[in-house]
Amino acid sequence: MVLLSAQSQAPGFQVALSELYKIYWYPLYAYVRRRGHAPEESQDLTQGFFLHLLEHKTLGRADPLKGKFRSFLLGSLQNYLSTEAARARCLKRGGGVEFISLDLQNAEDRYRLEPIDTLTPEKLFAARWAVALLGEAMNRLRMEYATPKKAATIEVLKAFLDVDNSKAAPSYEEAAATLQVTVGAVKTLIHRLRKQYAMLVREEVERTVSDPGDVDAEIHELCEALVVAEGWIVP
Amino acid sequence: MNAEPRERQEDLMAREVRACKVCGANFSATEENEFCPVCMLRRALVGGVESGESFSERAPTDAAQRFEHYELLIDEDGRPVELGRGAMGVTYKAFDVDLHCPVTLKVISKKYLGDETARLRFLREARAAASVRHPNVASVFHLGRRGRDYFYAMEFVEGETLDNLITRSGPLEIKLALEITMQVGAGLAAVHKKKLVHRDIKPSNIMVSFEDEGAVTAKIIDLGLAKTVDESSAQTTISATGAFAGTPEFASPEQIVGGDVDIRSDLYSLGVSLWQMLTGHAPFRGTAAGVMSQHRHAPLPLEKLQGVPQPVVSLIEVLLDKDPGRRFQTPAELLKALPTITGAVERGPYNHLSELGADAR
Repeated sequence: MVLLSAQSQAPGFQVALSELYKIYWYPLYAYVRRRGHAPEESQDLTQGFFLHLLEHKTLGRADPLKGKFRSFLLGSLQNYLSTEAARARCLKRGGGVEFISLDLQNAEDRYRLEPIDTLTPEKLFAARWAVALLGEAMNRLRMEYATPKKAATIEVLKAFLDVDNSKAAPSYEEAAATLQVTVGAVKTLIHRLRKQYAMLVREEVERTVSDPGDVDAEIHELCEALVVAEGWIVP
Repeated sequence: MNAEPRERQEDLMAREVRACKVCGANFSATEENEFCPVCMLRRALVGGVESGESFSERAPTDAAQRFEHYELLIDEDGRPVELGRGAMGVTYKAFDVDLHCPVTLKVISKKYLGDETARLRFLREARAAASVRHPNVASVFHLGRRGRDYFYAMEFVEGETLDNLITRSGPLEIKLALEITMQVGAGLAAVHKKKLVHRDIKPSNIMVSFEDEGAVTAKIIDLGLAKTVDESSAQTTISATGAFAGTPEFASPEQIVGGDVDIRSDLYSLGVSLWQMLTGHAPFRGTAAGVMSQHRHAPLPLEKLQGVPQPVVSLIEVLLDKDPGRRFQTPAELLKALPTITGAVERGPYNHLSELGADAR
Protein backbone atom coordinates (compact mmCIF):
# COMPACT_ATOMS: atom_id res chain seq x y z
CA MET A 1 0.00 0.00 0.00
CA VAL A 2 1.58 3.21 -1.16
CA LEU A 3 -0.37 5.32 1.30
CA LEU A 4 0.91 3.31 4.22
CA SER A 5 4.49 3.66 3.11
CA ALA A 6 3.88 7.33 2.38
CA GLN A 7 2.56 7.75 5.90
CA SER A 8 5.51 6.05 7.49
CA GLN A 9 8.89 7.58 8.01
CA ALA A 10 10.44 4.66 6.14
CA PRO A 11 13.20 5.19 3.54
CA GLY A 12 10.68 4.73 0.72
CA PHE A 13 8.69 7.69 1.99
CA GLN A 14 9.80 10.22 -0.61
CA VAL A 15 9.38 7.79 -3.49
CA ALA A 16 5.90 6.77 -2.36
CA LEU A 17 4.85 10.35 -1.87
CA SER A 18 6.26 11.43 -5.23
CA GLU A 19 4.38 8.63 -6.91
CA LEU A 20 1.05 9.66 -5.41
CA TYR A 21 1.73 13.33 -6.01
CA LYS A 22 2.45 12.76 -9.69
CA ILE A 23 -1.03 11.30 -10.07
CA TYR A 24 -2.93 13.80 -7.98
CA TRP A 25 -1.19 17.14 -8.39
CA TYR A 26 -3.59 18.53 -10.98
CA PRO A 27 -6.62 18.59 -8.63
CA LEU A 28 -4.40 20.47 -6.16
CA TYR A 29 -3.26 22.96 -8.81
CA ALA A 30 -6.83 23.57 -9.92
CA TYR A 31 -7.89 24.02 -6.31
CA VAL A 32 -5.24 26.69 -5.81
CA ARG A 33 -6.35 28.43 -9.00
CA ARG A 34 -9.96 28.24 -7.93
CA ARG A 35 -9.01 29.93 -4.67
CA GLY A 36 -8.08 32.95 -6.74
CA HIS A 37 -4.34 32.65 -7.26
CA ALA A 38 -2.90 33.59 -10.66
CA PRO A 39 -1.57 30.80 -12.92
CA GLU A 40 2.10 31.43 -12.23
CA GLU A 41 1.57 31.85 -8.53
CA SER A 42 -0.51 28.65 -8.48
CA GLN A 43 2.33 26.78 -10.14
CA ASP A 44 4.73 27.99 -7.46
CA LEU A 45 2.30 27.12 -4.71
CA THR A 46 1.63 23.64 -6.09
CA GLN A 47 5.36 22.94 -6.31
CA GLY A 48 5.97 24.56 -2.96
CA PHE A 49 3.29 22.50 -1.29
CA PHE A 50 4.93 19.31 -2.50
CA LEU A 51 8.30 20.42 -1.12
CA HIS A 52 6.58 21.31 2.11
CA LEU A 53 5.13 17.81 2.33
CA LEU A 54 8.52 16.25 1.73
CA GLU A 55 10.36 18.48 4.14
CA HIS A 56 7.87 18.30 6.93
CA LYS A 57 6.86 14.69 6.43
CA THR A 58 3.40 15.87 7.33
CA LEU A 59 1.96 12.61 6.05
CA GLY A 60 3.27 10.83 9.10
CA ARG A 61 0.84 12.87 11.14
CA ALA A 62 -2.28 11.86 9.21
CA ASP A 63 -5.33 11.70 11.42
CA PRO A 64 -6.29 8.04 11.81
CA LEU A 65 -9.96 9.01 12.06
CA LYS A 66 -9.83 10.29 8.52
CA GLY A 67 -7.91 7.67 6.66
CA LYS A 68 -8.33 9.22 3.24
CA PHE A 69 -5.28 10.55 1.49
CA ARG A 70 -7.54 12.88 -0.52
CA SER A 71 -9.00 14.59 2.55
CA PHE A 72 -5.63 14.73 4.21
CA LEU A 73 -3.95 16.30 1.20
CA LEU A 74 -6.69 18.90 0.80
CA GLY A 75 -6.58 19.76 4.49
CA SER A 76 -2.79 20.10 4.38
CA LEU A 77 -3.00 22.26 1.28
CA GLN A 78 -5.56 24.53 2.93
CA ASN A 79 -3.27 24.93 5.94
CA TYR A 80 -0.33 25.50 3.70
CA LEU A 81 -2.12 28.17 1.68
CA SER A 82 -3.22 30.04 4.75
CA THR A 83 -0.08 29.88 6.87
CA GLU A 84 3.07 28.85 5.11
CA ALA A 85 2.69 29.77 1.50
CA ALA A 86 4.61 33.03 1.48
CA ARG A 87 7.53 31.68 3.45
CA ALA A 88 7.76 28.45 1.48
CA ARG A 89 7.68 30.24 -1.86
CA CYS A 90 10.69 32.32 -0.91
CA LEU A 91 12.54 29.20 0.15
CA LYS A 92 11.75 27.41 -3.05
CA ARG A 93 12.88 30.28 -5.22
CA GLY A 94 16.05 30.61 -3.19
CA GLY A 95 16.77 26.90 -3.34
CA GLY A 96 15.92 26.63 -6.99
CA VAL A 97 15.42 22.89 -6.80
CA GLU A 98 12.46 21.14 -8.42
CA PHE A 99 11.75 17.73 -7.03
CA ILE A 100 8.96 16.70 -9.29
CA SER A 101 8.26 17.44 -12.91
CA LEU A 102 4.74 18.70 -13.43
CA ASP A 103 3.24 19.64 -16.77
CA LEU A 104 2.03 23.00 -15.55
CA GLN A 105 1.47 24.57 -18.96
CA ASN A 106 -0.91 21.79 -19.82
CA ALA A 107 -2.50 22.21 -16.39
CA GLU A 108 -3.44 25.80 -17.10
CA ASP A 109 -4.95 24.84 -20.46
CA ARG A 110 -7.01 22.19 -18.77
CA TYR A 111 -8.06 24.53 -16.01
CA ARG A 112 -9.30 27.08 -18.52
CA LEU A 113 -11.63 24.49 -19.98
CA GLU A 114 -13.47 24.16 -16.70
CA PRO A 115 -15.67 27.23 -16.58
CA ILE A 116 -17.39 26.45 -13.35
CA ASP A 117 -18.12 28.96 -10.69
CA THR A 118 -21.19 27.55 -9.04
CA LEU A 119 -19.53 24.70 -7.14
CA THR A 120 -17.29 24.90 -4.11
CA PRO A 121 -13.55 24.43 -4.68
CA GLU A 122 -13.75 21.35 -2.43
CA LYS A 123 -16.42 19.67 -4.56
CA LEU A 124 -14.46 20.37 -7.72
CA PHE A 125 -11.34 19.05 -6.08
CA ALA A 126 -13.02 15.71 -5.36
CA ALA A 127 -14.36 15.42 -8.92
CA ARG A 128 -10.94 16.20 -10.40
CA TRP A 129 -9.42 13.69 -8.06
CA ALA A 130 -11.83 11.03 -9.37
CA VAL A 131 -10.88 11.83 -12.95
CA ALA A 132 -7.17 11.70 -12.11
CA LEU A 133 -7.67 8.35 -10.42
CA LEU A 134 -9.52 6.87 -13.41
CA GLY A 135 -6.80 8.21 -15.70
CA GLU A 136 -4.12 6.52 -13.65
CA ALA A 137 -6.04 3.22 -13.72
CA MET A 138 -6.23 3.57 -17.50
CA ASN A 139 -2.48 4.21 -17.71
CA ARG A 140 -1.86 1.07 -15.75
CA LEU A 141 -4.25 -0.90 -17.95
CA ARG A 142 -2.32 0.26 -20.99
CA MET A 143 0.92 -0.78 -19.35
CA GLU A 144 -0.49 -4.25 -18.82
CA TYR A 145 -1.25 -4.34 -22.54
CA ALA A 146 2.11 -2.98 -23.59
CA THR A 147 3.23 -5.77 -25.94
CA PRO A 148 2.47 -5.09 -29.65
CA LYS A 149 -0.17 -7.82 -29.87
CA LYS A 150 -1.91 -6.81 -26.69
CA ALA A 151 -1.71 -3.13 -27.61
CA ALA A 152 -3.85 -3.89 -30.67
CA THR A 153 -6.36 -5.67 -28.44
CA ILE A 154 -6.78 -2.72 -26.13
CA GLU A 155 -6.99 -0.22 -28.99
CA VAL A 156 -9.78 -2.15 -30.67
CA LEU A 157 -11.66 -3.13 -27.52
CA LYS A 158 -11.19 -0.07 -25.32
CA ALA A 159 -14.50 1.41 -26.42
CA PHE A 160 -16.26 -1.62 -24.95
CA LEU A 161 -15.26 -0.53 -21.46
CA ASP A 162 -18.30 1.70 -21.66
CA VAL A 163 -20.04 0.48 -24.75
CA ASP A 164 -23.28 2.30 -23.92
CA ASN A 165 -21.59 5.68 -24.21
CA SER A 166 -18.96 5.01 -26.86
CA LYS A 167 -20.02 6.19 -30.27
CA ALA A 168 -16.79 4.77 -31.66
CA ALA A 169 -17.38 1.19 -30.50
CA PRO A 170 -17.21 -1.32 -33.36
CA SER A 171 -19.56 -4.33 -33.52
CA TYR A 172 -18.37 -7.63 -32.05
CA GLU A 173 -18.01 -8.94 -35.60
CA GLU A 174 -15.91 -5.98 -36.72
CA ALA A 175 -13.70 -6.28 -33.65
CA ALA A 176 -13.31 -10.03 -34.23
CA ALA A 177 -12.31 -9.45 -37.86
CA THR A 178 -9.76 -6.76 -36.95
CA LEU A 179 -8.19 -8.88 -34.23
CA GLN A 180 -8.50 -12.07 -36.30
CA VAL A 181 -10.23 -14.01 -33.53
CA THR A 182 -13.72 -15.45 -33.11
CA VAL A 183 -16.66 -13.39 -31.81
CA GLY A 184 -16.71 -15.63 -28.72
CA ALA A 185 -13.05 -14.79 -28.08
CA VAL A 186 -13.80 -11.07 -28.47
CA LYS A 187 -16.50 -11.31 -25.82
CA THR A 188 -14.11 -13.09 -23.47
CA LEU A 189 -11.43 -10.45 -24.09
CA ILE A 190 -13.91 -7.63 -23.42
CA HIS A 191 -15.05 -9.29 -20.23
CA ARG A 192 -11.45 -9.64 -19.08
CA LEU A 193 -10.63 -6.04 -19.99
CA ARG A 194 -13.57 -4.68 -18.01
CA LYS A 195 -12.71 -6.81 -15.03
CA GLN A 196 -9.07 -5.75 -15.13
CA TYR A 197 -9.98 -2.09 -15.38
CA ALA A 198 -12.44 -2.31 -12.48
CA MET A 199 -9.79 -4.08 -10.43
CA LEU A 200 -7.18 -1.42 -11.23
CA VAL A 201 -9.61 1.35 -10.30
CA ARG A 202 -10.24 -0.39 -7.01
CA GLU A 203 -6.51 -0.80 -6.43
CA GLU A 204 -5.99 2.90 -7.11
CA VAL A 205 -8.63 3.80 -4.53
CA GLU A 206 -7.04 1.36 -2.09
CA ARG A 207 -3.77 3.23 -2.45
CA THR A 208 -5.40 6.37 -1.14
CA VAL A 209 -7.17 5.10 1.97
CA SER A 210 -5.49 3.76 5.08
CA ASP A 211 -8.27 1.33 5.93
CA PRO A 212 -9.21 -1.09 3.12
CA GLY A 213 -12.72 -1.09 4.57
CA ASP A 214 -13.10 2.53 3.42
CA VAL A 215 -12.70 1.82 -0.29
CA ASP A 216 -16.41 1.57 -1.10
CA ALA A 217 -17.22 4.71 0.87
CA GLU A 218 -14.50 6.60 -0.98
CA ILE A 219 -15.85 5.38 -4.34
CA HIS A 220 -19.34 6.54 -3.39
CA GLU A 221 -18.01 9.98 -2.44
CA LEU A 222 -16.08 10.32 -5.66
CA CYS A 223 -19.16 9.30 -7.67
CA GLU A 224 -21.21 11.90 -5.89
CA ALA A 225 -18.60 14.56 -6.60
CA LEU A 226 -18.61 13.65 -10.29
CA VAL A 227 -22.39 13.81 -10.45
CA VAL A 228 -22.52 17.29 -8.93
CA ALA A 229 -19.68 18.50 -11.18
CA GLU A 230 -22.12 18.02 -14.08
CA GLY A 231 -19.50 16.86 -16.57
CA TRP A 232 -17.33 19.97 -16.46
CA ILE A 233 -14.19 18.11 -15.50
CA VAL A 234 -12.02 17.34 -18.51
CA PRO A 235 -10.81 13.73 -18.57
CA MET B 1 1.67 30.83 -21.25
CA ASN B 2 -1.98 31.07 -22.25
CA ALA B 3 -3.41 29.17 -25.18
CA GLU B 4 -4.37 31.27 -28.17
CA PRO B 5 -8.09 32.05 -28.33
CA ARG B 6 -8.47 30.03 -31.50
CA GLU B 7 -6.82 26.96 -29.99
CA ARG B 8 -8.99 27.28 -26.95
CA GLN B 9 -12.05 27.37 -29.15
CA GLU B 10 -10.92 24.17 -30.84
CA ASP B 11 -10.28 22.53 -27.49
CA LEU B 12 -13.74 23.43 -26.33
CA MET B 13 -15.24 21.96 -29.44
CA ALA B 14 -13.21 18.78 -29.08
CA ARG B 15 -15.04 17.91 -25.89
CA GLU B 16 -18.68 17.43 -25.37
CA VAL B 17 -20.82 17.22 -22.26
CA ARG B 18 -23.06 14.18 -22.52
CA ALA B 19 -25.59 12.50 -20.28
CA CYS B 20 -24.61 8.90 -19.51
CA LYS B 21 -27.02 6.47 -21.12
CA VAL B 22 -26.78 4.18 -18.12
CA CYS B 23 -26.79 6.35 -14.99
CA GLY B 24 -27.82 9.71 -16.41
CA ALA B 25 -24.86 11.62 -14.95
CA ASN B 26 -23.37 14.34 -17.13
CA PHE B 27 -19.79 13.76 -18.17
CA SER B 28 -17.20 15.27 -20.48
CA ALA B 29 -16.49 13.09 -23.50
CA THR B 30 -13.47 13.55 -25.74
CA GLU B 31 -12.48 11.67 -28.83
CA GLU B 32 -10.01 9.71 -26.74
CA ASN B 33 -12.30 9.10 -23.78
CA GLU B 34 -16.02 8.52 -24.06
CA PHE B 35 -16.48 6.81 -20.72
CA CYS B 36 -18.90 7.82 -18.02
CA PRO B 37 -16.57 8.22 -15.01
CA VAL B 38 -19.37 7.54 -12.55
CA CYS B 39 -20.13 4.13 -14.09
CA MET B 40 -16.42 3.34 -14.33
CA LEU B 41 -15.99 4.01 -10.61
CA ARG B 42 -19.13 2.18 -9.58
CA ARG B 43 -17.94 -0.98 -11.29
CA ALA B 44 -15.04 -1.02 -8.86
CA LEU B 45 -17.37 -1.29 -5.87
CA VAL B 46 -17.52 -4.61 -4.08
CA GLY B 47 -20.53 -6.24 -5.66
CA GLY B 48 -20.21 -3.85 -8.60
CA VAL B 49 -23.26 -2.57 -10.36
CA GLU B 50 -22.99 -3.86 -13.86
CA SER B 51 -24.31 -7.39 -13.84
CA GLY B 52 -21.79 -9.88 -15.07
CA GLU B 53 -19.14 -7.24 -15.60
CA SER B 54 -18.19 -6.16 -12.16
CA PHE B 55 -14.99 -6.44 -10.25
CA SER B 56 -16.28 -9.12 -7.93
CA GLU B 57 -18.34 -11.06 -10.42
CA ARG B 58 -21.86 -10.61 -9.27
CA ALA B 59 -23.74 -13.91 -9.41
CA PRO B 60 -26.39 -14.08 -12.12
CA THR B 61 -29.51 -12.36 -10.83
CA ASP B 62 -32.05 -14.90 -9.76
CA ALA B 63 -35.45 -14.47 -8.22
CA ALA B 64 -34.07 -14.87 -4.70
CA GLN B 65 -31.93 -11.73 -5.08
CA ARG B 66 -34.46 -9.45 -6.69
CA PHE B 67 -37.08 -7.45 -4.79
CA GLU B 68 -39.05 -5.43 -7.31
CA HIS B 69 -36.48 -2.98 -8.68
CA TYR B 70 -33.97 -3.68 -5.90
CA GLU B 71 -31.23 -6.20 -6.35
CA LEU B 72 -29.28 -7.61 -3.43
CA LEU B 73 -25.55 -7.02 -3.75
CA ILE B 74 -23.45 -10.15 -3.68
CA ASP B 75 -20.06 -10.52 -2.04
CA GLU B 76 -17.13 -12.36 -3.54
CA ASP B 77 -18.38 -15.67 -2.18
CA GLY B 78 -21.70 -15.19 -3.91
CA ARG B 79 -23.62 -14.39 -0.73
CA PRO B 80 -25.85 -11.34 -0.28
CA VAL B 81 -24.12 -8.51 1.60
CA GLU B 82 -25.82 -8.63 4.99
CA LEU B 83 -25.79 -5.43 7.04
CA GLY B 84 -27.56 -6.64 10.14
CA ARG B 85 -30.10 -8.94 11.73
CA GLY B 86 -32.94 -7.76 13.92
CA ALA B 87 -35.74 -9.47 15.78
CA MET B 88 -37.94 -9.73 12.72
CA GLY B 89 -35.86 -9.24 9.66
CA VAL B 90 -32.50 -9.18 7.98
CA THR B 91 -31.07 -6.06 6.36
CA TYR B 92 -29.07 -6.26 3.17
CA LYS B 93 -27.17 -3.84 1.03
CA ALA B 94 -29.01 -3.63 -2.28
CA PHE B 95 -28.95 -1.64 -5.46
CA ASP B 96 -31.80 0.31 -7.01
CA VAL B 97 -31.55 -0.72 -10.65
CA ASP B 98 -33.72 2.22 -11.77
CA LEU B 99 -32.06 5.06 -9.89
CA HIS B 100 -28.61 3.42 -9.76
CA CYS B 101 -28.00 4.01 -6.10
CA PRO B 102 -27.39 1.80 -3.11
CA VAL B 103 -30.23 1.17 -0.67
CA THR B 104 -30.70 -0.83 2.50
CA LEU B 105 -33.35 -3.49 2.17
CA LYS B 106 -35.06 -5.05 5.14
CA VAL B 107 -36.56 -8.43 4.46
CA ILE B 108 -38.67 -10.43 6.91
CA SER B 109 -36.80 -13.37 8.48
CA LYS B 110 -37.34 -16.72 6.84
CA LYS B 111 -38.74 -18.12 10.07
CA TYR B 112 -41.65 -15.67 9.87
CA LEU B 113 -42.45 -16.18 6.19
CA GLY B 114 -46.15 -16.79 5.79
CA ASP B 115 -46.84 -15.91 9.46
CA GLU B 116 -49.81 -13.53 9.47
CA THR B 117 -49.08 -11.95 12.88
CA ALA B 118 -45.45 -11.41 11.98
CA ARG B 119 -46.48 -9.90 8.68
CA LEU B 120 -48.64 -7.34 10.43
CA ARG B 121 -45.91 -6.51 12.93
CA PHE B 122 -43.44 -6.05 10.11
CA LEU B 123 -45.89 -3.79 8.29
CA ARG B 124 -46.44 -1.75 11.44
CA GLU B 125 -42.69 -1.48 11.93
CA ALA B 126 -42.21 -0.21 8.37
CA ARG B 127 -44.98 2.37 8.78
CA ALA B 128 -43.57 3.57 12.09
CA ALA B 129 -40.11 3.94 10.60
CA ALA B 130 -41.42 5.67 7.47
CA SER B 131 -43.28 8.26 9.53
CA VAL B 132 -40.02 9.70 10.88
CA ARG B 133 -38.25 12.12 8.57
CA HIS B 134 -35.15 13.67 10.05
CA PRO B 135 -31.51 14.17 8.96
CA ASN B 136 -30.34 12.16 11.96
CA VAL B 137 -32.61 9.19 11.28
CA ALA B 138 -32.17 6.86 8.29
CA SER B 139 -35.41 7.14 6.36
CA VAL B 140 -37.66 4.40 5.04
CA PHE B 141 -39.06 5.25 1.64
CA HIS B 142 -40.57 2.18 0.04
CA LEU B 143 -42.68 -0.74 1.15
CA GLY B 144 -42.96 -3.65 -1.23
CA ARG B 145 -44.24 -7.17 -1.31
CA ARG B 146 -42.82 -10.36 -2.58
CA GLY B 147 -45.53 -12.95 -2.66
CA ARG B 148 -47.52 -12.28 0.49
CA ASP B 149 -44.58 -10.98 2.51
CA TYR B 150 -43.43 -7.42 2.93
CA PHE B 151 -40.02 -5.89 2.57
CA TYR B 152 -39.00 -2.27 2.80
CA ALA B 153 -36.26 -0.05 1.44
CA MET B 154 -34.35 2.44 3.53
CA GLU B 155 -31.74 5.05 2.87
CA PHE B 156 -28.28 3.45 2.63
CA VAL B 157 -26.15 5.33 5.13
CA GLU B 158 -22.49 5.77 4.27
CA GLY B 159 -19.87 5.60 6.98
CA GLU B 160 -19.47 3.14 9.79
CA THR B 161 -21.31 2.27 12.95
CA LEU B 162 -20.37 4.17 16.07
CA ASP B 163 -19.53 0.79 17.55
CA ASN B 164 -16.96 0.19 14.80
CA LEU B 165 -15.51 3.65 15.24
CA ILE B 166 -15.02 3.11 18.99
CA THR B 167 -13.53 -0.36 18.46
CA ARG B 168 -11.21 0.96 15.77
CA SER B 169 -10.01 4.17 17.33
CA GLY B 170 -10.66 3.79 21.06
CA PRO B 171 -12.56 6.28 23.25
CA LEU B 172 -13.64 9.43 21.44
CA GLU B 173 -12.68 12.98 22.19
CA ILE B 174 -15.20 14.58 24.52
CA LYS B 175 -16.21 17.21 21.99
CA LEU B 176 -16.93 14.56 19.35
CA ALA B 177 -18.84 12.36 21.82
CA LEU B 178 -21.04 15.31 22.83
CA GLU B 179 -21.66 16.24 19.20
CA ILE B 180 -22.77 12.69 18.37
CA THR B 181 -24.96 12.66 21.51
CA MET B 182 -26.58 15.88 20.37
CA GLN B 183 -27.28 14.59 16.87
CA VAL B 184 -28.72 11.30 18.14
CA GLY B 185 -30.77 13.35 20.61
CA ALA B 186 -32.12 15.41 17.69
CA GLY B 187 -33.02 12.16 15.88
CA LEU B 188 -34.77 10.92 19.02
CA ALA B 189 -36.72 14.15 19.22
CA ALA B 190 -38.13 13.34 15.77
CA VAL B 191 -38.91 9.77 16.90
CA HIS B 192 -40.62 11.16 19.99
CA LYS B 193 -42.66 13.60 17.92
CA LYS B 194 -44.26 10.62 16.18
CA LYS B 195 -45.04 9.08 19.57
CA LEU B 196 -42.55 6.31 18.93
CA VAL B 197 -39.86 4.69 21.03
CA HIS B 198 -36.80 3.25 19.32
CA ARG B 199 -36.07 0.71 22.08
CA ASP B 200 -32.67 -0.32 20.75
CA ILE B 201 -30.45 2.77 20.80
CA LYS B 202 -26.84 1.59 20.93
CA PRO B 203 -23.58 2.37 19.11
CA SER B 204 -24.13 -0.37 16.54
CA ASN B 205 -27.44 1.28 15.59
CA ILE B 206 -25.83 4.68 15.04
CA MET B 207 -24.00 5.38 11.81
CA VAL B 208 -21.32 8.05 11.76
CA SER B 209 -19.55 9.63 8.83
CA PHE B 210 -17.01 12.41 8.59
CA GLU B 211 -16.88 15.22 6.07
CA ASP B 212 -13.62 16.39 4.55
CA GLU B 213 -13.52 19.22 7.05
CA GLY B 214 -13.90 16.77 9.93
CA ALA B 215 -17.55 17.54 10.67
CA VAL B 216 -19.42 14.48 11.86
CA THR B 217 -22.90 13.29 10.92
CA ALA B 218 -24.66 10.72 13.09
CA LYS B 219 -27.79 8.85 12.04
CA ILE B 220 -30.02 6.47 13.93
CA ILE B 221 -30.59 3.30 11.94
CA ASP B 222 -32.82 0.30 12.42
CA LEU B 223 -36.12 1.33 13.85
CA GLY B 224 -36.84 -2.40 13.80
CA LEU B 225 -37.93 -2.51 17.43
CA ALA B 226 -39.67 0.85 17.32
CA LYS B 227 -43.14 0.80 18.75
CA THR B 228 -45.82 3.33 19.41
CA VAL B 229 -46.10 4.23 23.06
CA ASP B 230 -49.68 2.97 23.08
CA GLU B 231 -48.80 -0.63 22.35
CA SER B 232 -48.90 -2.96 25.27
CA SER B 233 -45.60 -3.49 27.01
CA ALA B 234 -46.04 -7.24 27.15
CA GLN B 235 -46.13 -7.31 23.38
CA THR B 236 -43.24 -4.96 22.95
CA THR B 237 -40.65 -6.21 25.37
CA ILE B 238 -40.99 -9.93 25.06
CA SER B 239 -40.62 -11.33 21.59
CA ALA B 240 -42.60 -14.27 20.29
CA THR B 241 -40.11 -16.73 21.75
CA GLY B 242 -40.14 -15.07 25.15
CA ALA B 243 -36.62 -13.71 24.75
CA PHE B 244 -35.72 -10.18 25.75
CA ALA B 245 -35.98 -7.86 22.76
CA GLY B 246 -33.31 -5.20 22.85
CA THR B 247 -29.69 -5.28 23.94
CA PRO B 248 -29.04 -5.84 27.67
CA GLU B 249 -25.93 -3.61 27.83
CA PHE B 250 -27.92 -0.62 26.58
CA ALA B 251 -31.43 -1.34 27.91
CA SER B 252 -33.08 0.81 30.57
CA PRO B 253 -34.18 -0.72 33.89
CA GLU B 254 -37.85 -0.32 32.94
CA GLN B 255 -37.30 -1.99 29.57
CA ILE B 256 -35.58 -4.90 31.31
CA VAL B 257 -38.49 -5.57 33.67
CA GLY B 258 -40.99 -5.32 30.84
CA GLY B 259 -42.66 -2.22 32.23
CA ASP B 260 -44.03 0.73 30.31
CA VAL B 261 -41.39 2.08 28.00
CA ASP B 262 -41.35 5.61 26.63
CA ILE B 263 -38.79 7.93 25.09
CA ARG B 264 -37.01 8.28 28.45
CA SER B 265 -35.89 4.69 27.99
CA ASP B 266 -34.19 5.69 24.72
CA LEU B 267 -32.50 8.56 26.57
CA TYR B 268 -31.12 6.04 29.08
CA SER B 269 -29.75 3.95 26.18
CA LEU B 270 -28.21 7.09 24.70
CA GLY B 271 -26.56 7.71 28.08
CA VAL B 272 -25.04 4.22 27.98
CA SER B 273 -23.86 4.90 24.43
CA LEU B 274 -22.22 8.16 25.57
CA TRP B 275 -20.49 6.25 28.36
CA GLN B 276 -19.13 3.80 25.79
CA MET B 277 -17.98 6.66 23.54
CA LEU B 278 -15.96 8.14 26.41
CA THR B 279 -14.50 4.98 27.93
CA GLY B 280 -14.65 2.38 25.15
CA HIS B 281 -17.00 0.13 27.15
CA ALA B 282 -20.55 0.03 28.48
CA PRO B 283 -20.78 0.70 32.25
CA PHE B 284 -22.12 -2.74 33.10
CA ARG B 285 -20.57 -5.83 31.61
CA GLY B 286 -20.85 -9.58 32.12
CA THR B 287 -23.54 -12.16 31.44
CA ALA B 288 -26.88 -10.92 30.08
CA ALA B 289 -28.60 -11.68 33.40
CA GLY B 290 -25.81 -9.97 35.35
CA VAL B 291 -25.90 -6.88 33.15
CA MET B 292 -29.69 -6.62 33.45
CA SER B 293 -29.50 -6.92 37.21
CA GLN B 294 -26.82 -4.20 37.40
CA HIS B 295 -28.91 -1.84 35.28
CA ARG B 296 -31.73 -2.27 37.79
CA HIS B 297 -29.82 -2.20 41.06
CA ALA B 298 -26.10 -1.36 40.83
CA PRO B 299 -24.75 2.17 41.31
CA LEU B 300 -22.91 3.61 38.32
CA PRO B 301 -19.17 2.77 38.36
CA LEU B 302 -18.29 6.48 38.11
CA GLU B 303 -14.63 5.77 38.89
CA LYS B 304 -14.37 4.56 35.28
CA LEU B 305 -15.09 8.11 34.12
CA GLN B 306 -11.86 9.42 35.62
CA GLY B 307 -10.64 12.34 33.53
CA VAL B 308 -14.09 13.13 32.13
CA PRO B 309 -15.06 16.73 33.01
CA GLN B 310 -17.59 17.09 35.80
CA PRO B 311 -20.36 18.64 33.64
CA VAL B 312 -20.27 15.57 31.38
CA VAL B 313 -20.29 13.20 34.35
CA SER B 314 -23.36 15.03 35.67
CA LEU B 315 -25.03 14.72 32.27
CA ILE B 316 -24.39 10.97 32.28
CA GLU B 317 -25.78 10.66 35.80
CA VAL B 318 -29.01 12.31 34.72
CA LEU B 319 -29.32 10.18 31.58
CA LEU B 320 -28.59 7.00 33.52
CA ASP B 321 -30.85 7.59 36.48
CA LYS B 322 -32.66 4.37 37.28
CA ASP B 323 -35.86 6.34 37.85
CA PRO B 324 -37.20 7.60 34.50
CA GLY B 325 -38.88 10.46 36.38
CA ARG B 326 -35.46 11.87 37.32
CA ARG B 327 -33.99 11.75 33.79
CA PHE B 328 -34.57 14.32 31.07
CA GLN B 329 -38.24 13.86 30.25
CA THR B 330 -37.88 14.44 26.51
CA PRO B 331 -35.05 14.61 23.97
CA ALA B 332 -35.83 18.33 23.69
CA GLU B 333 -34.79 18.77 27.33
CA LEU B 334 -31.50 17.03 26.61
CA LEU B 335 -30.93 19.22 23.55
CA LYS B 336 -31.59 22.30 25.62
CA ALA B 337 -29.06 21.26 28.28
CA LEU B 338 -26.27 20.15 25.93
CA PRO B 339 -24.97 23.55 24.78
CA THR B 340 -24.57 24.60 28.42
CA ILE B 341 -22.56 21.46 29.12
CA THR B 342 -20.41 21.84 26.02
CA GLY B 343 -19.83 25.48 26.90
CA ALA B 344 -18.86 24.63 30.48
CA VAL B 345 -16.41 22.00 29.27
CA GLU B 346 -14.88 24.38 26.76
CA ARG B 347 -14.51 27.23 29.26
CA GLY B 348 -12.47 25.10 31.54
CA PRO B 349 -10.74 24.36 33.77
CA TYR B 350 -10.44 21.90 30.89
CA ASN B 351 -9.36 23.92 27.93
CA HIS B 352 -7.76 21.17 25.89
CA LEU B 353 -10.55 18.86 24.93
CA SER B 354 -8.34 16.54 22.91
CA GLU B 355 -5.98 16.02 25.83
CA LEU B 356 -8.93 15.36 28.06
CA GLY B 357 -10.15 12.73 25.64
CA ALA B 358 -6.76 11.07 25.90
CA ASP B 359 -6.86 11.22 29.70
CA ALA B 360 -10.26 9.60 29.78
CA ARG B 361 -8.76 6.59 28.09
